[in-house]
Amino acid sequence: MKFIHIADVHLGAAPEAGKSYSETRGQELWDSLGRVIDRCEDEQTDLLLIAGDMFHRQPLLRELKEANFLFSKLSHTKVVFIVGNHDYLKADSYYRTFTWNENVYPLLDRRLDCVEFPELDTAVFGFSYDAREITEPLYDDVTAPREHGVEILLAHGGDEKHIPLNKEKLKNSGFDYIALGHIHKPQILLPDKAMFAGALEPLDKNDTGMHGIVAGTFTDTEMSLEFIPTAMREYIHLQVMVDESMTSGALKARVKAEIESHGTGNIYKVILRGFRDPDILFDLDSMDAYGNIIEMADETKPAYDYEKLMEQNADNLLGKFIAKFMGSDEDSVEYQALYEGVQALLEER
Amino acid sequence: MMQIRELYLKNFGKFSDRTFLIRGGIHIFYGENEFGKSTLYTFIKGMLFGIERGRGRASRNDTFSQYEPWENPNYYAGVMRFCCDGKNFRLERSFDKYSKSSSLICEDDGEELSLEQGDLDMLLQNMTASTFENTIAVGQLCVETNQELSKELKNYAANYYATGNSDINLQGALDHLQSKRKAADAAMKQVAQEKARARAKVEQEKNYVHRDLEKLKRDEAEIELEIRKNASLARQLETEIQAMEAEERKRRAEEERAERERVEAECTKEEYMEKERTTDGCVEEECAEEEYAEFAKPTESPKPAESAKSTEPLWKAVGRHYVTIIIALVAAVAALLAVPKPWNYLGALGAAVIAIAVLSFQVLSDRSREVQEQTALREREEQERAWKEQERAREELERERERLERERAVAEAEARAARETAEREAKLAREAAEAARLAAARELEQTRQAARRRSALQEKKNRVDKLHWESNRIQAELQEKQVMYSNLEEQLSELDEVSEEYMQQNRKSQALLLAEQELTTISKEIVGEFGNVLNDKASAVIAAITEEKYTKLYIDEKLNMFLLTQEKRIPIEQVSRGTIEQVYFALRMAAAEILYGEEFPVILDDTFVFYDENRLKTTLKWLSEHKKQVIIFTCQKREADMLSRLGISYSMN
Repeated sequence: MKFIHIADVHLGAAPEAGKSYSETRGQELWDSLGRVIDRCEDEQTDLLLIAGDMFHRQPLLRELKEANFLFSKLSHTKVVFIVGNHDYLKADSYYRTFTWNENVYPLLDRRLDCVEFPELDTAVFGFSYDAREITEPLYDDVTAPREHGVEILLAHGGDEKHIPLNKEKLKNSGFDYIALGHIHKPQILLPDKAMFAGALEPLDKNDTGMHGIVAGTFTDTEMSLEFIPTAMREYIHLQVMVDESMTSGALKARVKAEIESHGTGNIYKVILRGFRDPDILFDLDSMDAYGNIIEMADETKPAYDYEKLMEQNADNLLGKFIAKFMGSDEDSVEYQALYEGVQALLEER
Repeated sequence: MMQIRELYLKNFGKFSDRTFLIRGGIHIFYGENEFGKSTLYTFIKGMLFGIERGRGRASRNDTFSQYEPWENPNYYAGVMRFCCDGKNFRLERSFDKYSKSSSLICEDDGEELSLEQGDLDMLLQNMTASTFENTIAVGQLCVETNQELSKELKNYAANYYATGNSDINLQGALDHLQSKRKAADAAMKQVAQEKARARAKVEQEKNYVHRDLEKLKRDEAEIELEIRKNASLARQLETEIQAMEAEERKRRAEEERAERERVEAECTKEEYMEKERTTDGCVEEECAEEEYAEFAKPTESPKPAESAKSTEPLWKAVGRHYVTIIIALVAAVAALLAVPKPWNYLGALGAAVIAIAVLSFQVLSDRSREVQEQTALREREEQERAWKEQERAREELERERERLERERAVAEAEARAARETAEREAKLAREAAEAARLAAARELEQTRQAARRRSALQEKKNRVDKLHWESNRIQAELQEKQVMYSNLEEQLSELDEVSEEYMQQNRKSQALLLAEQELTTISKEIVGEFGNVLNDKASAVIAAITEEKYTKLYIDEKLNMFLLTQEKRIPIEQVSRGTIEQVYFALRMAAAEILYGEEFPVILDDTFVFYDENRLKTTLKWLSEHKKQVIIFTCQKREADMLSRLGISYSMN
């Protein structure tokens, strides 16, 4: 039995993706789902499991229709999904009244429900969110009935406000596989047992790393799992080291080169570190050559030797000023004040 | 204590391979313009502190470039020998970028010291080039006018007082920080504005959706009303139709029953009619009719017989004409009376005669009539007898006729009855037909009405259906809009979160403010500590070099400067340039003393240009008394002359 496990598609979201990609990023989420569907069709996958947060907010009727259309293109695959904390089942949610294609099996109840596929000797269990937050560990008491060859739990949660998970209990729950959603970073919770598929496409600048789908196979004897990166773009935190000889222009060229080497289709958060010439001011706004930088953080420190300056100016304003702020935490406002003051004094000599 | 001993300019500015020996006490470097005083001055400074290429903006006209040797610029180097705390040192530097190097050797024991490790700094008590410039090296106040001069002095003093180092420009630094803070605040505002714009956009969308929602709700309410109205009308129509139908059914049932009865009745009538036709009552009737017809011609029935008259007595006959008699009498009387006597009896006679005539005539006629009457009577009697006989026959016939009549009557009655029945039937039939027609018409009318009502009902039903459909559509749209609305609200609340950039700029602004505040605070402290001491020491120098003309220099907390004489307080703007220069000098010396004690040589670079003779005298005197080594660069002979006159020994190159 072949299945594909995805989660957190967040259709309808408009993630920040830099000047070049922000406008189309929302559509890219839909396209990504479309590609998953195509893959299911090509490979004649048996089951497509979606572990919640298919939509970023309450889905509109037309959005459900679009999704249903995608599902309707599948000739063999059965789709099972649950609803997560983002698209949770409000009282007037369209999920409650919408009629899906015959190959789609939503598990929309608040209590554990299951859908059985006798031809696959498989059953999928799961329940959906009816509130934005659920703090009870509802998966702790869920166990597999062991009436089918393969029993899969489709679950959404993993932090304190959204059904905290207990690894031990999940391990002993008796399910052959636990398809998890909610955590956007793909990761293994229990080896060969429970995995977060992660967001299908990364949505936030801190969702770095690869994103994609989990493809699994159950044979009579064993199960194999594979994470396949399918996302169109990655968010990359790019650290660029700066030295005292770098001017703004040099930095710009360097950033551009780094982006080119890591892929111009990706989205970047650039962090500048190191010591810079105190006279030079980096013009951060002009460095977005490809329109794919959504944040540029200047964490460089000016190359002031505060100690030396303080010694040399022990008796005057400069020395005393430095003395006041020396030893401040590097991330603190005081440290920044130190730099600003020293720069002001030295520059206005 | 430090003293410079020798300067060896290997290659520096215009000098190449030149040595200058310097002794203690006052040493004058005298030379015309362009001699190279500044070069030497810079050399000393460069040897002590190195010459850094300026970075960035400052590199074009920096010292390095300025004193790059005219010849052989790649070889830019020199040596300075000095003694410090009793030890002799040899300091060597190469300034050019290719072989930049430096070395410091203690000549006494050959110990090689390290500049990188700060050995020179230690010897120099961590003096920097800038403090050098501000204390022991005294140039001129390079300004043109008195006003600017005093301002400059104040600035200088202020900076000194406020910062402990006249090199630092407190106000400039504060301005710098303030302008940067304004920039950070502006950036924050811009971020906030962009956020507000994004919010406004979402808000606007939300408003549009809200407006749509309201309209949809109104439409829905309207449709509800319509539906209810139409539904009640429909119900009304339905009940009407039902009633009509019930009536119809009832009427039909009745009609059927009536029909059935009629049919039955018809059967009996027909039977009866059949019976009638078989009897000959009709034929007999006809004969009887004929017969009767003949006899029925009404013979003139004689008048009812007058009773036969017998002959009347005469007097009765005459008496009958009593009227005539009366008249005759009257006439006779009248004639008697009226006519004159002879003739009255004639008249009366005449009258009587006439009367008798008439009477006779009347009686005769009566008699004739009587006779006639009697004959007539006899005739009549005969006639009567005949008639009676006829009468009898007639009576018989009459009886016969009556019998036939009776029979005929019966037959007639029967016929009549039959006819009547027939008529009645016909009438009934007509009535029935009429009724049927009416009924049919009515039925038609009713059907039409019913049909109309039904169609009206159907129409209402259709309308209600349509309205229901419309209502469903509206409800679907309503739901969609509501979902959209709540999604937009969610989006809006997410936007409320503060962005990182905003926080960054905020922190920057805070840091700048903190720096500003701290600088101000510290400078106040310095004014407190340093200022007083500086005041005292500078006052001492001023008192000495002005020969007690001015006893004190005073700077208040607002950094206003005053010179105190024995009588009054004079603001610095009001004193002469020369005095200002002296104050400047005094400040420097005082600062040097505060910072470094009497440890260092004082280097004066064309300092006394604006000093008058007296001032020159007092200052040189002070210098010789207070300083161990004074190096004077000058292009005049004044200093030398003055020293000579004062009897102060000096050396000169």
